[in-house]
Amino acid sequence: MMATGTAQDLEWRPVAAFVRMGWRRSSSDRASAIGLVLLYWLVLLIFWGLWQATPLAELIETGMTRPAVFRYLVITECIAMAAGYPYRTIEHDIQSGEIAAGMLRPIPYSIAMLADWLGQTCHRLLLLSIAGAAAAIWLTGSVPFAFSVLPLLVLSMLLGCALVLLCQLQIGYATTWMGTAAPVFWIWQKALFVMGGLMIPLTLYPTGLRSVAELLPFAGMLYWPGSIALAQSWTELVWPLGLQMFWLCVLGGLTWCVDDAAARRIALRGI
Amino acid sequence: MRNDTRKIGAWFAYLGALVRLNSRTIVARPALTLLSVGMMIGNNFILFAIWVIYFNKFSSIQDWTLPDMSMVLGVMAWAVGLTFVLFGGVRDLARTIVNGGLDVHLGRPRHPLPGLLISRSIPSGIGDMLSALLFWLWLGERSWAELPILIVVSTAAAIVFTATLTATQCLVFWFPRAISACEDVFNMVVMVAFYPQHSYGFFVRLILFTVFPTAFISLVPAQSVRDGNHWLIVAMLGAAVFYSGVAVAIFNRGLRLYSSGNRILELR
Repeated sequence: MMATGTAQDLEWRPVAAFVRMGWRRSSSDRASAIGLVLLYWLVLLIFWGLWQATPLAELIETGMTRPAVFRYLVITECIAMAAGYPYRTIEHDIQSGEIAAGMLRPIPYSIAMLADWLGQTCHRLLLLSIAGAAAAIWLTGSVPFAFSVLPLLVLSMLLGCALVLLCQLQIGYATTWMGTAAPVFWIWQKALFVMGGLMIPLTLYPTGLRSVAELLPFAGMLYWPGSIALAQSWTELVWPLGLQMFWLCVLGGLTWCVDDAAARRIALRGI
Repeated sequence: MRNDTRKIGAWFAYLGALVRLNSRTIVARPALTLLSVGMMIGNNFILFAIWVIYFNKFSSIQDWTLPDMSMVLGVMAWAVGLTFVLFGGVRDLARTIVNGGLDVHLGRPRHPLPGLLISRSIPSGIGDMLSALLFWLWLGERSWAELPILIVVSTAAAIVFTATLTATQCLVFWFPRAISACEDVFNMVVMVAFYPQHSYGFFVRLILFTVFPTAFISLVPAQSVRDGNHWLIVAMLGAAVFYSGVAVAIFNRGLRLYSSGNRILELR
């Protein structure tokens, strides 16, 4: 029993260390943190301006209000900005050959990367959540969520970020085959914006498109956490969280396959 | 006088040589170039879908409709595309400065900034420029007669975009760990320019016309053509000159703080 416990500690300790390192790296970079918050506020102001310019009568017809849409945007934009663009680290590591050093570590390169990104993302998520709540209170005069759903909202936002990070890890590995990951990232990012409902909640989409988009992993990254902010009861939260869990398993498995294929290709052909 | 003319001629010859050398990277890997171009066009049209969805539900954004937004997107695509094709080095400027890559350019008998900016060409920029033509002439319902003026104002927008990126990437001279912040700023500039900025309040517009000049990357050029306002065209050309000057001044200021020497051996 003792031996098993020690072995598990040995496996998780370096992963936890990478998470802590990511958190510290993000928290020590104060200039970036301030810049990120200012940009987040600017984007929220822009969205606020956009929805203020939308004809009110037409908005009410859809069953939404400006504050409700803004609360939704506070969440979706928070997740999108907290996750950032970490795929570029892997792209850079592969292009420069630095991945070879990373692959020599006792824990897998992809696990180390994910743990590091998770630490950074969690720090930014905390920072932006506070900034977003402040912006929502300032602009709409109300707290952007019901307090009863707060724990599940946090869980859903974390799951959303995890889904984004898993996708970005796979996108970064595309460099192994294509020499660059940027073209794949652009398409993925724009698909996330459109099918994830970054700017417009999926409830405002045409029925057919909405039915499809709600089932895709992009919705789990942005729309479902955003819709939790609009939820009033626990029963509305089961389906979104279930879908997020499902996609976490699917994308986790896919990431494992991509990681394995990329590692084999690098081992066989070099960088 | 003749000496000055010769100097200016030599300067342009130098820039021309840099652009020629740089453009070779685009044709060096044709398959990758074609893939990047195709995917960038796809990327732009997926992004445009957001506005199709929006205008499917709502009639306008303060009198702006889908063709107007198509023109905004076209202007932005041209500005970003031209920047990436000609001045692709701006994308990695912050990383180059932090990694000591500036040393290679400081060893040359010219100002390092043009060499840095024209050190890389990003093929996807061609996809952006091609999609700009589609956004203007097809989805934006503009005529062929308006094309020259669209290209002029969008090229001015490209200069403002390059200058803005240069200035923001120079942050690392003062804050060497701010590489990720530079990346965030780049993405935000692109993102903010994508939205219709004519509807914002005074405070936001003040920012967008000054420290964060995205208004000159999409709103003003699009509005100048939409309204046929010649003063806005003049304003665009003025903004291109002004922000270029600001970018060079910030770069020169930051350069005084630069003290790396770790890549100087590459010159040997």
